[in-house]
Amino acid sequence: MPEPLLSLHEVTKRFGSTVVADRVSFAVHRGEFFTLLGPSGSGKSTILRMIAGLERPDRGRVLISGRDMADVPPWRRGLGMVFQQYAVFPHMTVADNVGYGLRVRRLPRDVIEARVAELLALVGLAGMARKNVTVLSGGEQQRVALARALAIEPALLLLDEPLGALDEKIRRDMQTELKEIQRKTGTTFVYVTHDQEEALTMSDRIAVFHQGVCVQCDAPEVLFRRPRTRFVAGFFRGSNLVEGDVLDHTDTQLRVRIGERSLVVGRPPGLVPRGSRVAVAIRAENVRIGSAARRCSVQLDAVVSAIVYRGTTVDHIVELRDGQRLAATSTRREIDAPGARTPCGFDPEDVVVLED
Amino acid sequence: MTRAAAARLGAWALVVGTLAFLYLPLVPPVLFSLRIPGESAGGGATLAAYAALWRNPILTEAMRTSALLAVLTAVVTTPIALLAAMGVRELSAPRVVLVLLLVPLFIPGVSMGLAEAFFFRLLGIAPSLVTILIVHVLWALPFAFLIILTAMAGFDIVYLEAAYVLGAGPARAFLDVELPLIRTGILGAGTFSLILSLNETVRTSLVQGPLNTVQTYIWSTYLQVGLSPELYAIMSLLIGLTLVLIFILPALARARPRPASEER
Repeated sequence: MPEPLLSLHEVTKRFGSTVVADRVSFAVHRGEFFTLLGPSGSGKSTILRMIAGLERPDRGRVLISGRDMADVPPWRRGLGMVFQQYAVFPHMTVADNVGYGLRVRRLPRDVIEARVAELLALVGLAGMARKNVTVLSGGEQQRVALARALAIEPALLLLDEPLGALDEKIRRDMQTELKEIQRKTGTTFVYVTHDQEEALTMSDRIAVFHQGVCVQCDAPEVLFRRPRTRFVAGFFRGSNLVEGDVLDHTDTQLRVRIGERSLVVGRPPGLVPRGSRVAVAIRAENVRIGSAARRCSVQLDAVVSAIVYRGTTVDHIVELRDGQRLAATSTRREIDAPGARTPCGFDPEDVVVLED
Repeated sequence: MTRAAAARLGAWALVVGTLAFLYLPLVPPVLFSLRIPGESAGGGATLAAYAALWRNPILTEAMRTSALLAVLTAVVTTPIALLAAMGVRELSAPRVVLVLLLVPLFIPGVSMGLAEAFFFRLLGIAPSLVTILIVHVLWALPFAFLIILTAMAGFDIVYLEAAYVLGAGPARAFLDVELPLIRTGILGAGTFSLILSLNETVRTSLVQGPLNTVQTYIWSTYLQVGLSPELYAIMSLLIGLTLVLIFILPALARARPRPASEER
């Protein structure tokens, strides 16, 4: 494995009595799109600011290209950063904003002009160089901020909820564009967001934060299909959380009873004594009802309690015999009305036993 | 007439009444300054009193002193106020520090002037331009500080952070980013200091020594000679100058600095 571009070792930060980052460790490799995902107050922005040098860790180390950043101020780190509130300089033109980092580095004027033109083309603002930034739309201002951050060709670009202040439609367009720019420039992105869908679409890897702790760090598909904790499972929409009883276990497998059926599933690390109750996650799109349930290897008796129409999909909420509820998502309506009895099925490989 | 229209008319009458109450007392001095001596009211007008001002060597000397003091006060006070405001922000100083910085505003002028005069005497400093300047700076500082602090409160630190990450150290970031964005507040603080210095009387009279400012000249002439067309004229000039400063300088400050590349 080559040396990571960025690594955090046991980074801890307190604001008063709140721990905003609790022994956070992760490594980001060159060219990666790495996302810090979590609800507001989970500490992800503070971690980004510590990487930038805008906050100081109480404990732990931040290394960039193997170098300890403890005594390096933000202006000597050579990073790029994009802020949620754009932070484009309102008293400067578009070109002066984009060229600011280059002017600070005393590059010759013709070099700066060429580089500014190149970047404005990259972010789709060619021809806007002379405009005053304050007359631009939010999306355009954020493009200026992005071009400004990329102008110095930073190895690492930090993005703090860069699309958070934009409208839904512009946000979707910008997601695709950001990903495209990341691919073209080969820059390593560390991206902060609270939007699970945004994280899933854009990232190579995602670190999920909860109350200052990095609870899981994995590729989007792993995180989505194999959450390790209730928090991660619950954070992604469409996950069913139900409880089961542990009947038996081996080193790698558990026999668990859910409702009136028992099934053999993969075992999480840690202690799971016989007779204990465990939380189990099953994605709603993996739960079948009606005739489709008959092809599943695990089938339970259920009663439909609600049907929620969502356009492209329909959620059927069913109640099992033991009172637990499950959502089954399908592309069309399987049952006409609530109150009907139906089999409810899923396959053991889609059942994830959680660690907590 | 509708009720709404009547209410509007009433509100306007209040506004006009208040303005009249504020500004009417300033009118007679202007009228009296234009009167030909010896003639009764309603006679012809003359600028003779204004012309006479320039032939009075004590007064012209006082004008020079006042102008010099006003400019020096603005030049000295503004940077100190700026540094104080930056210090308060940097240390996120508690409210009590803010209050302590503003309390001198509420100390009676005579008390403050006497205390300062006594302090200078204890230190063995003879009254001079410097003592008046110090007194004026101390008088203007809380105002200037308050104005700059207000301007800074409207400045988002994220601009500085963006500049830092782009490679600008604190000094460079301040000059390139914060200073242009709070310049209205800084110009305002300067203007205010200038006007306060120009119009200060009581504190000045206690530390003026052999020097006269226009204000101390007016005050002492009034006490010794009483009112005269000459005094009316100088008062009218000062009132006019103050109004001009108050209206023109903020307008200058509002004119945004043109982005650099447009000037090329």
